[in-house]
Amino acid sequence: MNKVLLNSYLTLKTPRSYAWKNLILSESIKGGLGSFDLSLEYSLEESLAYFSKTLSFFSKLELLDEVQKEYDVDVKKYFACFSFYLDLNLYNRIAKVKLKWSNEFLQWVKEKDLNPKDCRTFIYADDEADLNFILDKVSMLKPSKMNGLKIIDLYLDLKAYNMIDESLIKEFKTDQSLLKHLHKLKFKEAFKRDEQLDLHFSKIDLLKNVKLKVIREGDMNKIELNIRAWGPADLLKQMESVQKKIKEIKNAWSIS
Amino acid sequence: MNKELFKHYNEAFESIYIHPESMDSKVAINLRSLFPKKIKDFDSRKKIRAQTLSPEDFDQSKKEILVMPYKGKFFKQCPGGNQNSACCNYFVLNLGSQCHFNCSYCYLQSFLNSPFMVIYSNIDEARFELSKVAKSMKDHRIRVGTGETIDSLGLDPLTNYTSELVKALKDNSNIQLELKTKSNFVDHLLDMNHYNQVTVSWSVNPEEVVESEEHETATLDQRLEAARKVLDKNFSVAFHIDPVIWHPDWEKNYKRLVKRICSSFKPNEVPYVSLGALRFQTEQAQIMKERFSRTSFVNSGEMFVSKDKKLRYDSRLRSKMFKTIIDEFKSYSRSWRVFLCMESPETWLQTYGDSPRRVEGLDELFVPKPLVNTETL
Ligand code: SF4
Repeated sequence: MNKVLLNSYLTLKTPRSYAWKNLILSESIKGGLGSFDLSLEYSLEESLAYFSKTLSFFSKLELLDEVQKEYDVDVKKYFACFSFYLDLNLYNRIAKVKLKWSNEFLQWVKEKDLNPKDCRTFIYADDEADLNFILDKVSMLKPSKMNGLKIIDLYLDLKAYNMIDESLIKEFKTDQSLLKHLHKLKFKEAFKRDEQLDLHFSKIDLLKNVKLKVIREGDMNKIELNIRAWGPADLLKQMESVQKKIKEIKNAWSIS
Repeated sequence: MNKELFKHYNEAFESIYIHPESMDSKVAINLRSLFPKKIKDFDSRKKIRAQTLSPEDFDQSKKEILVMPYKGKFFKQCPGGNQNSACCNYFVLNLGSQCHFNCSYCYLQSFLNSPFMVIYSNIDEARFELSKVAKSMKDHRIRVGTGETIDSLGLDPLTNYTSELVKALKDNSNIQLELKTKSNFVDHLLDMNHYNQVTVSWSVNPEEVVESEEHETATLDQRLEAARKVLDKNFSVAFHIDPVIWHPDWEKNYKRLVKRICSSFKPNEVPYVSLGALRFQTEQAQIMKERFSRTSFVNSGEMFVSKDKKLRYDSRLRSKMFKTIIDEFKSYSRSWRVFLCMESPETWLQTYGDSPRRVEGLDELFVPKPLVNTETL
């Protein structure tokens, strides 16, 4: 048992430390034990769960790894203590693939507090080399949890269709720029349609202070009209100019 | 049950668990006599409590039958009608959940968390509810479907539930019972008295999509042959081209599908064809990638989060796909009645240029019906 490691969990994450039977979970017992009774009626799983309740899912896994070196821990029972009914297949999968992750990626996963559901984005990936490549990139860019998961998912999708150039990905220095790039590739057709429409709109001869733009809202693209007028009379003039071009606008909308 | 069908079920299921309260139900008796070796001790069943099932557990749940009574209300209003989608006034009666077919886009993947395929044993109560609703709405014609959480005919040769439900039609001429399936299990229906109130509807797709996405289901030809069989016995037949799935050759393949339907059926033989584009809950995307490859047709399209929080194709692409299919039907005959299912008013406008209640031939399907208070059943 790596007492130093356990000790660091306890001092970092919980104010007190506990013991179970002859298993010393921390050597530095500070303060009382509160309502938690160390009598033998508590199982190892319950005791572990009690003092590890504030840890992230992956820190819990790390703790389990350590304790399991010497004791049989019923993983399902341990997670059930948190009203968290872990799917054992999922747990086994995570426990297996986690061994292949770099320390940097594991660090990101812990920092961002990924849960088993988040991990489903990538733990079933077929190609290990592709996966490692993008996990390394994520470890390097240190994106938010949401951006990181999106980057991994989009990359794996695009890779499955050979629609991505790895050497180009290496060049990206921020998660936002990479995400934007991946997005454009994944939604290529819709972007193309929106751009075409924008191009058609730009060719319509409107007054200087009238701008027509295509905006995307989820599964729809919409027309945004921007008018800057000096006053009500000017506003009316500009609106009439748009009215005169409505046929061309309709045309552009229907051909792209 | 013929040998072929017995073989089909024998290969599909590994275990059968029967709830103590369901022991004497007809379905339990039938299952015990057909598959005595598959009956397992009820208490030995798996007890999984997870928010979602892992791919392995979901696959396994299709092989394990649990027969139990349903404690809630069977009868529900179709969830399709909300502020974002036009509703075709459809009611659902769920007689079980899960399905032994395996479609890559099946919404049950993100909906079910039970490790079993459940068959509800209290069919008499379901029939009673159906009669009660029919009587309470006797001035309205109501469509009732049984294929929301289970394929209507997938297990029917084992349960005989359709023949139980049709008993309720005898005194309730306002009900139209709609069975929705991707199977070709119709032989047991052919001699049934259906009072001209049963529609058997097939969800159809081009053969390429069936092969790539609708695993274990009947082929397109088998479905159309089955449709012809029931039509010849005066059942009503409908088709749902749903989900329409984008794939590289979608245009050519969907046109071929329409040709296949139009060359086998006349418009007056099919009261309606409904169209719906691929859509699913956002959390289902990951499950589909896990269970089927990232390159399967359903995972290859460009899907966006729509107003109702489901992932859908770009609305203009949807309209284009619908228009292609509708125009193709109309090129064979103007009399085909084709409508959109679970679609936003915007898509109706883009496709038809009008809302469903103002499109000729479809208006009647969309007349609002009174809401049913299932609590009072
Ligand atoms: S037939 Fe229907 S219920 Fe069965 S797997 Fe396919 S989509 Fe799901």
